[in-house]
Amino acid sequence: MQYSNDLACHICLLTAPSHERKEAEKYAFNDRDAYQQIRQYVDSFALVNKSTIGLDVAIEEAKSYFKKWGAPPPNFLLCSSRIAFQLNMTEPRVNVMTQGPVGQERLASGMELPSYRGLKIINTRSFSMETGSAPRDPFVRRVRVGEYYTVHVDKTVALPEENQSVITMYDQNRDCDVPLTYSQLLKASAISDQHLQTLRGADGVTFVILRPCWEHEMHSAVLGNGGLQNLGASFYGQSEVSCYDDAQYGTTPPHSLPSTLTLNASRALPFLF
Amino acid sequence: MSFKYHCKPVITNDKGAIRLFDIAFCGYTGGGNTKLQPFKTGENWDGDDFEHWKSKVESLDEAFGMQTASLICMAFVDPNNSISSSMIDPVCIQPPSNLQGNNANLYADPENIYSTYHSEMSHWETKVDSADDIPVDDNNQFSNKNMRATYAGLCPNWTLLHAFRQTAGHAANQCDSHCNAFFFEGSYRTSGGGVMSKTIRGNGHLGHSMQGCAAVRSGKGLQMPSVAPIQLTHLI
Repeated sequence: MQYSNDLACHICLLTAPSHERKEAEKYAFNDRDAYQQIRQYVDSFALVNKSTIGLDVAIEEAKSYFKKWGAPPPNFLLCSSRIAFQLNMTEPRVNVMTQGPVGQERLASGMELPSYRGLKIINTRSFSMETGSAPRDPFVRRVRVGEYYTVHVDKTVALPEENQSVITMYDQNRDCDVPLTYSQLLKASAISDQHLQTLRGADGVTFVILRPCWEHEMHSAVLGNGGLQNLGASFYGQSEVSCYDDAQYGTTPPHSLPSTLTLNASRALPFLF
Repeated sequence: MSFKYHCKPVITNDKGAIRLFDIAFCGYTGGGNTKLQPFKTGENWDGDDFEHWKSKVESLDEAFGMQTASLICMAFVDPNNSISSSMIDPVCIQPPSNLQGNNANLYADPENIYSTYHSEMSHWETKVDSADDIPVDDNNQFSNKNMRATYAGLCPNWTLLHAFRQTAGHAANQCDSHCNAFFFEGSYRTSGGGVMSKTIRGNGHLGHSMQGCAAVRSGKGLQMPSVAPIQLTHLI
């Protein structure tokens, strides 16, 4: 029961309506233009890894949203344990040898992070969600992002040799910079033999290189304030009780029970987060 | 005796939670190599089949794959070097006006709240035309205008995939990849015969790419900025 309820809570928190969306739809007003909106998301992408204070900034910004909406401040952070261990990997925490007995105790205790910035840390877990596939954490998802690169070859200045490198870019498979040659770009961009000849004969060629699917698995997190009034609850109720023939007590007729479930607030199990 | 129950978590107050999507790397699943996918494959042309690659891009229910080619290259006859200067950040290769139903929204945020497409993002498609729409052969078959249309038609329709993507929560629940039609300028260096040397630091989702960041993007460690954000440090 606990396992399925945990999974349902994870999914519920991931897919619940967003108050920000409600406000945006209600007022149909946005004081940020398209570029500001894009930067907002782009800058917060992998914020925890990009900056040592990334999660701190995210938490404090989220708290300001709670204030703006008139909601009580958050008291829990639901996130993967891998985010929590990133927080433990900062220099003052890792360098336990210089902190005397406190450092030794911290090392021995395994550097648990029960709370952070006033928020109780609750770790997400993996669930068996698809038949035949390994359990997975619903708070991890695959995200593809795109990049482009441009290089201009001016043959009136100098004629590049076919195997001459014209652009160097990062290769994440090999974790190093890799050069690409003029010949490689020509062959990859040509759509026909005639097109290839045209490109070879032109005075200047600009290559626009696209990397459309740079894909990573990304962690998500939820900040919230637990409780029936502040956030929500797991509602539960019986749907069926069956009684069978019993050798000791004889036959008991089955009770007639409603087939539909009535969710009752008195049976609500508030989110304990 | 058997007892059956129903159980359903319900959010009763949507002001009580804020979701922070994509705040930390968990692992790299492909698309970051330097293997070029040629448009023309087959006789006397090296490389994997373009249609196969296209199906990999359009398949969102599986990881892109480490060995799948990550790059495609478009070439334009451009003696005045006007294309590079007309590229803005981000750029949208296929404008949403080409989609059926027109005016499709392209959201940047994971919850699909704010439509963030601006017509200027596809400006490179048209801006260059007046400057150097040069007929390079009698039929003008390989003019920049025609080639842009040809390349855009050959490519997978990222704009369509982006426009109809689910919200992040539903995508995570169903294990779908979240795709993006916006292209940001990445990190690279150019040099060579006839090539203007330049060094660009990437400013997109992943930031600057450099040797050593593979471990960070696998979810192991933090990326130390080469230039400290002094103002930000003082605020905290």
